[in-house]
Amino acid sequence: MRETTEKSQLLKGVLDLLVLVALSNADGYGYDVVRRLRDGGLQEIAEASVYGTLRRLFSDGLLSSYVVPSDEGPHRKYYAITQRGSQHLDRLTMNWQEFSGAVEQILVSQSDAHNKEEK
Amino acid sequence: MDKENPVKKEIAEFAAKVREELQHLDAELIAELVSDLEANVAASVDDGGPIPDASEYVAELLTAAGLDVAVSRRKKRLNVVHARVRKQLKGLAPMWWFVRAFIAVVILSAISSNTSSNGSRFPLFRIFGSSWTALVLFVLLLWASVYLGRQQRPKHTSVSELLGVGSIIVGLVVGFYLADKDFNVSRDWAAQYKKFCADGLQETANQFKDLPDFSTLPNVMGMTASEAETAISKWSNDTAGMMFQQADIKPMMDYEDAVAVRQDSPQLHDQMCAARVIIPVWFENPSRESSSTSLPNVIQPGATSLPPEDGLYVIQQGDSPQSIALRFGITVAELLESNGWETATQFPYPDTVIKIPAPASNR
Repeated sequence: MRETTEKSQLLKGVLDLLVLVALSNADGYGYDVVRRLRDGGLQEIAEASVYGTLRRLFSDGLLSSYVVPSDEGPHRKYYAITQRGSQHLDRLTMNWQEFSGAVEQILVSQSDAHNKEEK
Repeated sequence: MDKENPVKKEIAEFAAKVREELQHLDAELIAELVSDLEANVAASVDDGGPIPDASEYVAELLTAAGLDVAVSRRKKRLNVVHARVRKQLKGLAPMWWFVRAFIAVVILSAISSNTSSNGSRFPLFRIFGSSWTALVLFVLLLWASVYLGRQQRPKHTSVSELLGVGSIIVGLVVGFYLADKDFNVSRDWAAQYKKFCADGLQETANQFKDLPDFSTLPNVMGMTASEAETAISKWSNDTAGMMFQQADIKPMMDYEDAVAVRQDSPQLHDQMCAARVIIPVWFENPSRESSSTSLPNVIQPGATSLPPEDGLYVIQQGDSPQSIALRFGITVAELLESNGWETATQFPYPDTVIKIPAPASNR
């Protein structure tokens, strides 16, 4: 339980990036996005935080939306990434790669040092 | 089917809770935030997920949407209070229906009193000189007000219905009370003047038909003393005017003096009425200032408020040392002293002439 809380704290920082990525190839409705992220390995993602993020990105103009009537069940609100959303995604991706690269490097160098000391 | 229904019910309950927690927000924003709420949760449950905790769900939703959860909590509490107050006020709505009808009548009274010649006093519940008109209008307006109020709220609880009935009863009682009070303490001089002069006026009116009609003069009821002097000078040279002057009838005689004249000489009074000598003056006549605060009731024989010129007074049925002292603006002690009585028990029977001292303020 504590592990998932820690992970979801980490996720919060990258929710914008994740949601934009999930919609970059195909439009989708709320739960679509959740499912895509979970299928990608992020089981602990909180659904509500995805929906909240969708709403915020939409009101910031990074996403557009349209309603698709469905024959069975309720109508679905689909989200699509806008041009501004794509630009924002590129910027976020770059930031993340720089950031995660640096974190990775620090982790590797520290564990190397640790291993050397042990020997 | 057996399995699905309880889940559906649970989802519906969850969605209801979420919506309730979001109630403090703008309706449009809520619609945006929870679009597809049920469908999303149902899909998640289908995939084997649990139904989330509503409060946690809302907190995550708001945080991710960039809305301040703490602020909205405070707002929410405020909103709950608001909702409660609104509910209470709804219960009081029938009261408001009554009040607005009453206010409308008061406003109409004010308007109609402005259009009538008497502008110096504002009758609270009187339209075109009649309390009955006002009362009838009030009942009609009340009916209309209640009708409108109920149309706006087709659903009403038994409590508010009780309140409605209660307020109508209160309204009628208050209305009758005000109307009745208004009858006793009539502030409408024009109406009172007409009523006062109505008896036997016709005959004498013909006699004095050449006199200028004071009622046609601008603002005759609120005429100042000098204006009245000017007006009376126009007819003071003819026979009728001379007669009035001989009888010491002044152009600015007020209501109480007029009553006294009527008692002494009904015929003279009729002539006065015909000549429209009685110009009600409460504020313009400086010698009447003390009596201007006490309104004359309906015509009351012998109700003068200044000591008679000769300082004498004939006791009437129902008089007491207190009532006489009050009427002439003196103390009981002064009254006893000037008549040489030691105690109030020496106060004589009706038709006895007693002495009335001048009020202390005039000495």
